[in-house]
Amino acid sequence: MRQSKRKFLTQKPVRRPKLRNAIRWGLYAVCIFLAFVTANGGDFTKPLLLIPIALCISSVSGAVVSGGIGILCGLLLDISCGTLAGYHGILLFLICLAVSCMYDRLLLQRFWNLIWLTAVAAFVVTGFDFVFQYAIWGYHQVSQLYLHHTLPCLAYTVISSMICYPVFSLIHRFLLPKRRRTIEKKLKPMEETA
Amino acid sequence: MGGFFRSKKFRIILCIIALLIGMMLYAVTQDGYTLPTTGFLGRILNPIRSASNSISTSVQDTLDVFTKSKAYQTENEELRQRVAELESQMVDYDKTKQDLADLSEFMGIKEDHPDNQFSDPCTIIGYVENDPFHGFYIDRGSDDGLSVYDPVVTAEGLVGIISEISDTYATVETICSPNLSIGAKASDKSESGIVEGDVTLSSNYRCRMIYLEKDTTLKSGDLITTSNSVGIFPQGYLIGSVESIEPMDNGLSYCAVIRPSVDLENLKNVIVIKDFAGKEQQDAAK
Repeated sequence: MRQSKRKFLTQKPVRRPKLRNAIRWGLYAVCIFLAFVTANGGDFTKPLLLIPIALCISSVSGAVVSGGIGILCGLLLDISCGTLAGYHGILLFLICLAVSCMYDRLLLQRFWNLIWLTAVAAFVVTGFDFVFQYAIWGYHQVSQLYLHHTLPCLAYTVISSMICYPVFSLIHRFLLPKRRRTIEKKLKPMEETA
Repeated sequence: MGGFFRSKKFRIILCIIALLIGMMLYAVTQDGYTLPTTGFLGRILNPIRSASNSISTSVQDTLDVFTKSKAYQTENEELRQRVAELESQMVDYDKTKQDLADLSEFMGIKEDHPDNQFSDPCTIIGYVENDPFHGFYIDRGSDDGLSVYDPVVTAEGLVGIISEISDTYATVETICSPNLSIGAKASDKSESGIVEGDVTLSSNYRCRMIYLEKDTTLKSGDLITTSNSVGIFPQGYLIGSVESIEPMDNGLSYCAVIRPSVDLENLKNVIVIKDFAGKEQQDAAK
């Protein structure tokens, strides 16, 4: 473990960082585009793919970029769900900002971290959707809607994040020019003194 | 932590949230019309949505062959029985047809419908993501003379209304949505009520007719049409047929489960009624 960490810390800077960045953002754009396009196909319950995608990008980005991605994905979600413009924008903006801060200070790039973060984010988004779109209007037997519509959507979103994470992990592995592992960085002076 | 709340970053975050809230408030004041940016995005993305939906539909149709073989077998048996019933009814078909033509002439339906101004056929370009009430998008908008609350129909009957509109596309809310209340009556009886969507029924593409008396004479198979007594729908459009009669939760009245005459599950094209007799008065009443 120590050896691999040392190897990581002493590795040379990646070549052509600007080109890698451009390719990375191009792939992000393709993923977001595909998620948006598939959202309107077919009248059946689908995962909210834009949520895990926004979280995957936020996990390796700064607060400002994460906020921007959150707004973009949120507005696209507003268009595909036919909700008030800006409603999902605010939600995902705040969620992505929080995720970025958490990865910057607390969390490592691990599979389960992203899964539970997606679960929490999807729970918040679908919960707000349920409250504002159905519950407050007093529909008859609205709890059935939560059980048979909102919960499957939440489950599909979490499951879809298990596919999103490996894809974005690959993108980040090969195309992320600068590692953002703050904890490792903090370990470096400790190792040097040791 | 306190430093964060005094930082420039926190102020920028507050500004962005204020901007988004402002955008939401502006959108609310548009009375169903989308924001210009949303409309512009929709204009670009309509062909893509349409392509995505057709791919999704064809994949779904292909998969259905394998996943629903048992269901198809059951359906086939039911259809055989239904065909047998229909063949027995064919004996009275000519007489019924003649009666229907006479009734149509008598009631002046042919004179009523020319008042309705229809749009060109609209194609469904996609579905509202995860909408339990099966809302969808059509490829025509305010540029084609459509407006919010215009009724949407097919040759088979009523589909819903336009709930939101942009320059180039519109969102249609179906009769399965609890947001819609349609004044309705039985086509050959004096029974009347309100047709509206229901959370539990919408998953099976059904709606219900409420406020029926306890001694209702409605029975399975009766046809329900729009009555124009309330709401924004023209008179005489078929909504569906009665599937069953059930008591309401309050126990004071009954409701009829309605099977829409339009196959909402496999809808491809619709027509919008842009204008009809009495619409101005209804607009004024709103």
